[in-house]
Amino acid sequence: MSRKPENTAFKQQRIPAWHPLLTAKSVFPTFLVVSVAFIPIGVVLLVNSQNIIEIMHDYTDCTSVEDNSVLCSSVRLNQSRMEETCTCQINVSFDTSMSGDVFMYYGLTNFFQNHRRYVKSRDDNQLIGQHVTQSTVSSECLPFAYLPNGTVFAPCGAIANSLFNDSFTMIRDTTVVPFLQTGIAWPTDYSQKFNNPSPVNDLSQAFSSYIRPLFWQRNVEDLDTVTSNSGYQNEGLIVWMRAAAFSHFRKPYGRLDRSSSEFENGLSVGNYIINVSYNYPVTAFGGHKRFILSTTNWMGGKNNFLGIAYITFGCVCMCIGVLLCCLHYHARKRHVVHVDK
Amino acid sequence: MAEAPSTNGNNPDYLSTPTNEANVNRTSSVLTATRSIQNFLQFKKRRIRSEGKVRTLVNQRLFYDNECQICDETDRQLQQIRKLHKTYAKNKIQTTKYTVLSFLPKNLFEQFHRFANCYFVLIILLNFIPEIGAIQPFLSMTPVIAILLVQAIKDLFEDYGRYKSDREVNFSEAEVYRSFDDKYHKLKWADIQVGDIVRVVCNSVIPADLLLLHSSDADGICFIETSNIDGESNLKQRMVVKRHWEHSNPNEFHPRDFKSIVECQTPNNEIYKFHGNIIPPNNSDKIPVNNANLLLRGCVIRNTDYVEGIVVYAGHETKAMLNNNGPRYKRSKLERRMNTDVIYCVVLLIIMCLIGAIGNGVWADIQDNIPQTQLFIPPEENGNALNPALSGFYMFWTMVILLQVLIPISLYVSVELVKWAQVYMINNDLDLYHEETDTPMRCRALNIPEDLGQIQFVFSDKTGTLTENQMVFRRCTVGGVDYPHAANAARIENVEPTPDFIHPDHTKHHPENDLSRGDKSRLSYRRPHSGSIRPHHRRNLSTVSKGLEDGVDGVDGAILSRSVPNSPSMNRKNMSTKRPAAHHRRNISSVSAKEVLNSIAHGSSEIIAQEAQEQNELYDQLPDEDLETDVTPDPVLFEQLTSIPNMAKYGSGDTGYKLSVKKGRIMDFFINLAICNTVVISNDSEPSEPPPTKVANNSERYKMSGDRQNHLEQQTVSGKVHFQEVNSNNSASASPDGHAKLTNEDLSNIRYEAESPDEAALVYAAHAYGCILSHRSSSGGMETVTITLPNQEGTLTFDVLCKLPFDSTRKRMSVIVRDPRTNQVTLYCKGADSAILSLLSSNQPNVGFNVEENDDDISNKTSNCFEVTDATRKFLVAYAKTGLRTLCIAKRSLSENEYMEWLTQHKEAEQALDGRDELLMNSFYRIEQDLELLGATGIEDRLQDGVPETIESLRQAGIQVWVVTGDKQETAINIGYSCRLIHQKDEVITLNSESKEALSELLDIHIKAQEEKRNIPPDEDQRNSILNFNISFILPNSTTYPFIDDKDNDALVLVIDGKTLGFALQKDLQKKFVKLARLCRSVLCCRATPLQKGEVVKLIRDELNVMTLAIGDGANDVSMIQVADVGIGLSGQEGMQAVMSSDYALAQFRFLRKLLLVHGHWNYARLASMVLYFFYKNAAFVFLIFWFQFFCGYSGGNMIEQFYLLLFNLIFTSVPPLINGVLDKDVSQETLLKKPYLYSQGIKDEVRTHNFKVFMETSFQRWR
Repeated sequence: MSRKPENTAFKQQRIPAWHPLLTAKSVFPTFLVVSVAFIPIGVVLLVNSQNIIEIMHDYTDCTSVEDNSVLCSSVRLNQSRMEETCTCQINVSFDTSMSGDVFMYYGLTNFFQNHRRYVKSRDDNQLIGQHVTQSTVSSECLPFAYLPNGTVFAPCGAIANSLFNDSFTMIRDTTVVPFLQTGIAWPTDYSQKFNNPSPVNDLSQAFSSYIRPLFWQRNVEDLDTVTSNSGYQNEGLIVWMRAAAFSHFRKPYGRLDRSSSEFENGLSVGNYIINVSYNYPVTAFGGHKRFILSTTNWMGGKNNFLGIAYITFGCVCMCIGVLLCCLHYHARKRHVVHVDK
Repeated sequence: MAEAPSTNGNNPDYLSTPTNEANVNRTSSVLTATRSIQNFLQFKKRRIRSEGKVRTLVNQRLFYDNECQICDETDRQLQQIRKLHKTYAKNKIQTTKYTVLSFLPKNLFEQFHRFANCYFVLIILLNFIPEIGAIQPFLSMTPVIAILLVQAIKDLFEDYGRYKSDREVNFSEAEVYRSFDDKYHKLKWADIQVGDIVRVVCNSVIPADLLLLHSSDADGICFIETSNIDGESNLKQRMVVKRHWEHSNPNEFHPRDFKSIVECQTPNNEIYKFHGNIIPPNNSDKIPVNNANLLLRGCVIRNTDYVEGIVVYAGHETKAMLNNNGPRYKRSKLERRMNTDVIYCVVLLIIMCLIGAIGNGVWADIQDNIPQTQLFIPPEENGNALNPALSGFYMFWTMVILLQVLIPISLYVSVELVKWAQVYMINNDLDLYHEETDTPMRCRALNIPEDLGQIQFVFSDKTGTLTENQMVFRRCTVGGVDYPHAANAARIENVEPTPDFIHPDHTKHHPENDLSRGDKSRLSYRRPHSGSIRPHHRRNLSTVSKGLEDGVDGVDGAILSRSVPNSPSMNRKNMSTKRPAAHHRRNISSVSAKEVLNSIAHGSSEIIAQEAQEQNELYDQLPDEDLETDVTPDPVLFEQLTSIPNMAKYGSGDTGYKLSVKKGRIMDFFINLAICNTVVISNDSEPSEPPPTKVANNSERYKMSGDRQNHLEQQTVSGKVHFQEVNSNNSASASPDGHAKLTNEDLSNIRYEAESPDEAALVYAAHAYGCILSHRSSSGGMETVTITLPNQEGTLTFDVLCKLPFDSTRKRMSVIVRDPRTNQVTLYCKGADSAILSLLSSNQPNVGFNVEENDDDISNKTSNCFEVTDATRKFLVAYAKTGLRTLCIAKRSLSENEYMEWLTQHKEAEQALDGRDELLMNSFYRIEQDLELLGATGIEDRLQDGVPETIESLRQAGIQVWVVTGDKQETAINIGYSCRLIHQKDEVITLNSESKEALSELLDIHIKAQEEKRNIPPDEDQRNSILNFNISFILPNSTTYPFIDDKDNDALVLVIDGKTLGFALQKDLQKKFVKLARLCRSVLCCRATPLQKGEVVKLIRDELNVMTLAIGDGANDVSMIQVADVGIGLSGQEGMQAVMSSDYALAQFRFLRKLLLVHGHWNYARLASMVLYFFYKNAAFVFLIFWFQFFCGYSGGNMIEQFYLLLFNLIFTSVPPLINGVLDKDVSQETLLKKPYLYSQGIKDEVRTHNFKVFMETSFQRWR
């Protein structure tokens, strides 16, 4: 029996390989091609982004409608006036109509929703619809898991506890602009990760053994009047529970209901009033709140960064490409190069 | 351990001298047996307590029989031995690591021995601490479990393979003697125990280490093939223990009767060493046993019907098993560097974690002063906010978990996998496969394949490494007369004319002008490819030649008579004896005089030229074996030898005929060649029958002979003198005795198996001259050697009184025989010239010979006359200069008294168990003195294929090549020239000095001279220059080449001999030596001892901090191979010791080229870029997470889903680096071989940056 190795392409390492030797000559076309491809892409992106109309309003320091001399933020800072309502009014007018889908967002700054302990502080089992007790609730929720008497919060944890609870009503003339608070969460979150506990058709009974989180003013089953959007399946809650990556973030609040003929084509030019029920305290930690209206297109919301990045990178490639090109032709004139003679 | 009764404790030296008591009681064998058992048990007890060097055993049968003749009293003793027996390993082997039950715990235990796995576990444990845990604890276990699982499966798989092979071995069958029915039974190997008597039949494998007690061979010898153990395929002879049957018929061995006690060394792994004694029950003298009586497990019985032996070592205690120490583990340079890289990673990790921790503390402190941050900073379970310092501390550990990926634990697993694949690729390379010997490349060390890409120094042995170690007898000198063997030289010489590259200085001053042209070009001999020769070629040749040389007695005769004027027209058959397979031998012979033929036919018709061409082709096709075994005798010497009449009878007294000194010397010379060796005579691997009869019975052989007869007939037709005619002419008075029954055919059919090839070469040479070693026998403990004399004069049978085997310290071997001619005790000795020349007797010896012819010829002077010795010395130098290996042949006549005196001392030495080697050595020195020089031989060792090209390539690759050899300076220099280690124009510095001071001065002078010549400032740090020497291949004009041979510049070559090397290696001269050596292109160390070889490598490795590679083939290279960073063993002729200690086993030196230039470069480049890739991907990942910390309040949060975080290394990014590491080719194989300088990237460790560097160089070259 011969011990001769097999003569196969793999064993004899004859599988084709390509390892280019990089020289100015072989590299500069690549740079030029890249720049030629990237700059137009960047321009398209930027133009598209510019076409999106976005209206943003920081209402952190708005004054109370009830008492014009009082800032709503100061009301919220005062522990004793916690139960008082405070409403702000924001006047918005735009000179170009917002056609198509219009989304309403709220934005927070300096709010560290990405803090590790904050992110962990939830019980996915509970949110998926399982009944939990003091002993089975995830310890990650602590100290927002249950009351000293053992009643479990529904939902538990720091994220749920700090649910953003300002509400916005948009009025044009006298009509309330209809905004839907559904269809704003990820479909998978809504269908997979969040479910109400049984019995799903009687939420008040389903949540009867739980208590609402400490900071909440409403029970979880009362977040919306529609059953399909209340309890854990409230999309506002779902959106909030998907923690933001940075401390400055925006989250969708609602989308324009375009079923009525008046708002079929979006929001037309005009003056709008937005009533904000100012509940969420942000000045205490140096944060700000914003109200945002925006249209979307195929590339999502307004985002200039991507276009600028493409254009910048394209330009850099162009410069390098040209430089290398010059080097190559310049050098070739002067030298006869012996590469690998 | 057994507790023996200590009744008689005052006999400390039991082993070396038998007790007096025992001697007194010799009459009562029963009692003495008892005593000896008693004694030995005490001894055993003491020994085990003190040194534990002895194992004792008896026939297992004694345990089970009641009929044992040892009286009751001894039963207790037998019980003691029995207990001892139980402590010996059984023959069952188990090489598996695990059993079904122990697998899980044991494997886990082993795996957690690895640092990497412990690191993982630490991380997991950290995860379980709630304050720290960054990842869900159970989730975080997945990668570890996956890695452990993969490893466990791999281990399980390997272990199962071992289990299967163990099972196969354990279940093989062997015949074991069992006493209950007094027969041999087929038993499984696993059931064999120490003390069992085992019978092994021909061609079967020996199941355990056996002491040979009986052989079917009448002479008590048997042959074994040890290829399973050391890879040597030649047969070795083993002998039955002498005299143990003394009281019974030697040929009727029965296991029942073996009642002796065997004592031997405790198990050890020295394959070639075994000492022990057999203590016969009648307490006669102990019988020493040694390696020659031991059959090792795993060997195969050949040429012998069956053998019987007692098991002395079984199972794991057998020498073969003890020697089996598995693959070697070395740390490669890249791996060492990788480890420092990992340490950098650890430092980086700690820094990042600290930043995170401090940031966290500060941030928490700031947030503390702000109310309502609990909106997003959940307080502790008790509702209080964390203390910033504590929070920071927790954060540190959280960060460790989070950034753990930075420590590329999986890198180790990946690197191992990649190396495994690389080794697989190397093993499977067809270019490294040697077709002729069916030897593929074998990687024994699995974890240093990339070191092959960074070698800076290659240390090579010469013999067997650069050369083939296939020895061919070239020429000899007897009594100060050189016999050039011109025809032999021509035969060996390659047909291809090769440029004469020998330095003029080295060829000019030959003392003898008759060193033929062949001597020079011979060095470049190319090994011909084997092939068959068509008969019609032969016939053509004969016809043409006949036509040409009309009137001359055939081709061969013509050639001979032309080439050597005074040669008699001689029978070719007689001239060169051939092996049976060499049915084309006549071609060889005719070609041997090819040049002569050509010169005769100079200017004649084209046909002749064509014929010559054809002959060349024929010649090319010769199987190389025949070159070794064929010798064309020198006509002068042959004539002188054959002209000695009545050789067999000479000196026997009745003729009163005395031989001339000259002829006696020639006679002795050939007798020495024929008998002073350990070769085994073999005809074929047929069992049974001692050689002579066997040959006669071998029908196949007859057939072949018949074939030959036909050829012979043909030749006779073409003018050949028939053998018988010559025979009748020359030796009418020959009276063949019994041994002469061997037909002439049989004699020429004889094959010799020798452990060292030069031994065989000499025997074949003697064979060619008609002095045929025809039979070796050892009956009744007495060994005899029979040689057949030339001219059919009959045979001489020498009683071999003693053999003094070869060893590397003495560098010689001797036999002491009783000369049947004079009945005188004679010592025949052969050995290295340095070992013999100093032992020559100073007075005029040899009064036994009368000077009959009164020639002026110096060869008639007594042997040690100054002229003879001096002439021989001169020839030795001349031989060495042409690259021949020289051996001196000497003899010594001993008086009966001298011999007896020595013998008693020698026997004592033989029986000693402690320090036996030393005692034996002293004993050898005592007898090997006052030698009478007979002559010297020159054996050629041809250069291997492709050696010069390989060395050239290695040098272009920036590798400095050193040759470290045990050979003589002249031989070494010559080989240096022929393998292009030294060029014509090179300046050769030879360092030979007798003292340290002289050497020191010499070194200073040379260093100074060289520095001046090269304008190197004396104080420049040389180390830098060697590490930074720069071979720029892009812009060759921009860099200097301090080490690479510029064709215009003379390079420097240093030659140093062993003695001087000894001084140079001493502490205070080391630095100077290295400094000078570094200036040289190559260095030749001659006459280096094995230890020095190792020291040289170590010196260079440590002093210059470079990667070294040592390549060698023999046991003497082992130290060098082990010391070097990469050790390569050539599986050549000298056994497997070098291979066993090596990291890589090659079949040929030339394979080194591809191994280093292609595989080495690839392996290094691949692994380097893979490691880099690995660090890169991990760093990219980790820095992202780290960067995120600045945005998430230094809270240890991460923006990646946990699953992805954990599986990043395991699944998403594990395969691309692996593929890169296994398949990437930065440069194609062809380019690497064509441009050896690409290799220097590995040396300079710049593969990682290479592409970028080339790019920058090509882009900005204008400004350089």
